[in-house]
Amino acid sequence: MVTTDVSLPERELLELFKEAPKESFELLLRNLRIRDYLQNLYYKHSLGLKLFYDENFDRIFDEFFKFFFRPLELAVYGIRSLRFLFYSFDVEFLETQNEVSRALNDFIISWFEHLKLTSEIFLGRTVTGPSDLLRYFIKMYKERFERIPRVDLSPDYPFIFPKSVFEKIEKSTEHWQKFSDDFLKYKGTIKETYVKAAEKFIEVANSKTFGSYQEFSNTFSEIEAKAFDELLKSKEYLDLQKNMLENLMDYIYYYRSFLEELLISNPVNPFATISMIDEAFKRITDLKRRVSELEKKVLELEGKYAGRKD
Amino acid sequence: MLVEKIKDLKPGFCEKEVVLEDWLFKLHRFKAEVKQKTPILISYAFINRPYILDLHREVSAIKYLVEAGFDVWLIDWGYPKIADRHLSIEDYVDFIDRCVEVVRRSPNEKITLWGYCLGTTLAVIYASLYPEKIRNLIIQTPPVNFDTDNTLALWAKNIDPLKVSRALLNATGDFLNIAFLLIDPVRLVIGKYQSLIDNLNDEKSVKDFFYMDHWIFDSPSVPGKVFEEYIIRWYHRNEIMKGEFTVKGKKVDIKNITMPLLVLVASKDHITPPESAIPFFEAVPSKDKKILMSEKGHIGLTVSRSSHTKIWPEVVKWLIERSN
Repeated sequence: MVTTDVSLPERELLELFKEAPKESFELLLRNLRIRDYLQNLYYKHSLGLKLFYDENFDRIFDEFFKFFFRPLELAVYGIRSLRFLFYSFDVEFLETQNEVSRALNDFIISWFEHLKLTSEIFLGRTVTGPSDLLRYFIKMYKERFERIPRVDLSPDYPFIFPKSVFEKIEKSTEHWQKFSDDFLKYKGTIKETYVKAAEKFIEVANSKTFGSYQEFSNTFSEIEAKAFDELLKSKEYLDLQKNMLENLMDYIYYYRSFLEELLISNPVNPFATISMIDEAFKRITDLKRRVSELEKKVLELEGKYAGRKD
Repeated sequence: MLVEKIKDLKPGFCEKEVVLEDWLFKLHRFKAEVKQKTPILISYAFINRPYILDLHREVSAIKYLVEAGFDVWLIDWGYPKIADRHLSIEDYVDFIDRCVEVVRRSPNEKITLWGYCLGTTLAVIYASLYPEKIRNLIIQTPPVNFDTDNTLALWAKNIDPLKVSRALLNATGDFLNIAFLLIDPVRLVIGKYQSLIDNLNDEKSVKDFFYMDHWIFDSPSVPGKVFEEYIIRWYHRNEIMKGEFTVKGKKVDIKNITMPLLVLVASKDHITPPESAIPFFEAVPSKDKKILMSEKGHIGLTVSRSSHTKIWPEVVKWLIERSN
């Protein structure tokens, strides 16, 4: 293993993250790793060893590919995190939360009992007052709450929500499935191109001696770049990218629509959805255009349309 | 320390003030001792931030113009929010008209309209609709002919923008950025950063690199409806070159471009290659037209030191000859 001749001190990383664009920061760190892998390969080459496609090439690909999907990845994760807001589809999550809550409650009661006992032993007096009052209040409140008649709704969700909710989630699932298949093909195509170019580079590297690490690294980059120039214009790639992007976009749209339908189907929902707000934005934009037209006409009538004073 | 080299990098060298503001859009005027008669209005690209023209002292194109005595005005299209997603290209053209009326000193005065990248497309539309207000037209790295075969154009022709705007509402800066990076992934994701690592000890290289990267990743969203028009009407249908583009029912006819025309293109431009401009250049009837070709790429034309030695002095000379 060859250590890189360039590194960033660890203490500098947090400051650098503050100052640099996050994309530059990430790309810089990934490229420092890429440099390590390339230097490992160069080390072997400089010892006169034959190169072959090994894990160093795979690791370079992993670092390279991670950046390929950043903004769309965010969309996927964004949706995943939103799901926690919607109770009915995350029963397991709620159950887990419930367990945690119960454990905390038990802990607080034990802690209170412990303090009460300690104070009785050491101070010789029983804890009374606010704490007991609080307990009393909670007990009363609980009893009152239990007197409210419970409405036993059917647990069959399909009959509670409007059908549009299920239509949206079905479409979203359908597009997610297609997107997942496309993504695997996409990654496979990118990897195949990378590996073929890497093999070409290995052939070149094994047939000559590079004068410097820079020359070695530049040759690798150029061979890879040319392979990608060709791939990214190919019909196969264009079709794949189109399908993947469109299925992801449809998934995002239908998942959001599903969440919106879920919200508005509940009469106690306090939130305006993005579609409702969007309609308002559309009307405001239309009104703004009309105001601009009127302003322009007024200025023309006043003869003030062109001309500044300086 | 690397962080010390890039701390407090602030783009922008020339002083300017906001003269007109319309929620999202702004018109700036640069402070100058004006000696040239015809003011310049720059319509910047709505896909990036305009400070690339005034990045820092050594590569500021605005400084060049201001020092030559020009009255320079610049349109900043802002950072569109979801609230702006129903804006259309017509709204952008309307704002140019409002700006032209502010920049002109009298109803008979003509101005120099300068388009940059996608601001060029807007400038060409405007100059075709209101040729009587334009004395000179300068277009820099201009996408007017969208029927090209560079990777970006092929990708744009192979996406459905309606699905993107329906899902994301606006075409977000992140989304657009990744497209610009991935059209040349090895050079832009690996090669460029390996060069940075090679030069980490060189303060000037590091500063230049981060000035550029700050600008590159400071990307505004494009309003959803504008994105739809940009991809469908320009890339899919090439409406301007075909004479099919209309604004409020009025046809945009590039045959109206009879004013002096200067086209600035870059031979290594992978975003708007020279073919994006040459058919337009050949089609317009202007008798006073010229192309200046830089050997750089899309951004290098503006910020490279070689452009500042070779291209910009010629641009200023051309302008002075047609401004008084």
